[in-house]
Amino acid sequence: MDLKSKMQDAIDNLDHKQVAWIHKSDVIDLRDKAVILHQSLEHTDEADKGIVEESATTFLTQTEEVISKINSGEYKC
Amino acid sequence: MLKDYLRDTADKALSSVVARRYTLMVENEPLTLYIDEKNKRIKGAEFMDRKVNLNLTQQTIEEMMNFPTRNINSQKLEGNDDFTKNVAGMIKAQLNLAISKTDKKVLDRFARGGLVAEDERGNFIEAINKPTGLRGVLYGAVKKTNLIISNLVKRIDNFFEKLRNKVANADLTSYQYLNEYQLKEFNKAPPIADLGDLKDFKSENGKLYTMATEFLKENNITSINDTDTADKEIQNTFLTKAFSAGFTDVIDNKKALFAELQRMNQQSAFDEKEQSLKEQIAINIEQSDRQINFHKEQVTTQTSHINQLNETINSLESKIEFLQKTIAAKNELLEDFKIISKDFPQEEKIDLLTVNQEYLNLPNEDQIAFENQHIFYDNIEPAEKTEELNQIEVLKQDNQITQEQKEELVERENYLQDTTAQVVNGENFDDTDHYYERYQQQQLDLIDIPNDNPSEYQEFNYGENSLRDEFFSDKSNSNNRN
Repeated sequence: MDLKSKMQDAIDNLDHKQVAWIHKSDVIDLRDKAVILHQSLEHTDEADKGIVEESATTFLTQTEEVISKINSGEYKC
Repeated sequence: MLKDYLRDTADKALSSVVARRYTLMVENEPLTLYIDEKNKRIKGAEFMDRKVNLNLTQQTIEEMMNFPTRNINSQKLEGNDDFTKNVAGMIKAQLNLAISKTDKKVLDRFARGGLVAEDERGNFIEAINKPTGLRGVLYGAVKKTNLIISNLVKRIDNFFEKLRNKVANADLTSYQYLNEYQLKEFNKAPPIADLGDLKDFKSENGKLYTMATEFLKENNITSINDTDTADKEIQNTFLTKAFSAGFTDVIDNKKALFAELQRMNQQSAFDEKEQSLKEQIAINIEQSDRQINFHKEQVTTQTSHINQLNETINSLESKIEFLQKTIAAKNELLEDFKIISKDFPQEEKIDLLTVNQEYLNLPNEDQIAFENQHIFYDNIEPAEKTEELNQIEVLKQDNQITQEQKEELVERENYLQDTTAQVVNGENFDDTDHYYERYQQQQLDLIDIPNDNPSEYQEFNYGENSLRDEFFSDKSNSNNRN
């Protein structure tokens, strides 16, 4: 799976509907960042691509655990 | 009936001059919004007995107004990102404030209000502070990803501006395609006028012609000649029939038969063509309509997507700016807080307050007084407030106002007169501009966002509460920075 698809997957999985109200804001924060990174991967000039790809990869690593917890279904209201 | 009419009339009168109360149930906890229905804007909000600021879009407000009742279950607005984002942000800020003070009463209300996951309700304080729980993991992820985006902004010149331009340009392609489609595809269908007047193909009146038409139809005749015996017999039958009816000129009768046959064949061919063209036109129009609707929807969706993206970009940009401005700011005394938080919205103010040492050391009642004065106030202009209070006075005297409406007016009056929530304009800030500028400069001098080295992530201060910082062992780093 390429980086863009992985980022799209992260956007889909960072779903605030799957968590209680106290967690929604942070999940939305992460989803917003994922959207921005996804758009950056889509549109960034060649010169900046390396930096964006590096950021996207780090982002995916940092959100792995969050996504796995959201998908566990334990944090729903 | 008359009672309903009077109530509705009074209701309309109320809506035109007074902000109406809407109650949104966020799980079991009510969120009260006062909506100026005329201008579709929020004029006050309350959550857990505190005045909160919510900046919802006009579309969201309209969506609320379209519900048949002013008591709304927030689940009905689940798909509305603007609502969820704003309310969730406000809830998170309230929770952080309660955690920073270990306000068990409020924390208990969070648990009972169903704002936390069912599994976490039993021992809420322990659950939310568990580093391996969702809140702990989210806290870490938000902090680290703040750094990722900050680095991106630092390393790519005008990052957000570039992204905005790219996103805007991407939108243009669909408009271009729509124009091409309108010029080439939509015009393929021939105009109705080119088909001519269909009535021209109807025969002239006259019994003979009528008879010929009936005959040809009855016998299902589409061609006829003078050579075949069968055709000769057909002609003979008609000529005999016409003669018997008083038409004695055989030549005219035959001419009429052939003319009518020719006319009918032409008519039939035309009918077929007309039908086929009509069908084709209908198909073309349907296809065109479908295509146009599809493209319109696509453009609408894309435009809304672009607007949403721009909002996301703006929101993230503000967040990063907030973090950059506050990361190195001195926020120990209440005076520091007042200066730093001056231009920030309520949620960010709460973030800053939860790490202010002087505030955290205040007795509980002083904390509440300070919060009411500097955070939980409404943003209604004093002149507007006076005007609305005057209108309420007038309406309260109106005989058509029902008891329920009167109670609503009194509640609104109390909200507007609540002096624990002071408008902050001009209050205590008259001579702070000079200090604020100094702090801004200080922040700019001190900002130095670390690179991507994961060990340095811990130094990034998300402005969260000290209680939680203890759990994540990065409080000392945050203090060292100052």
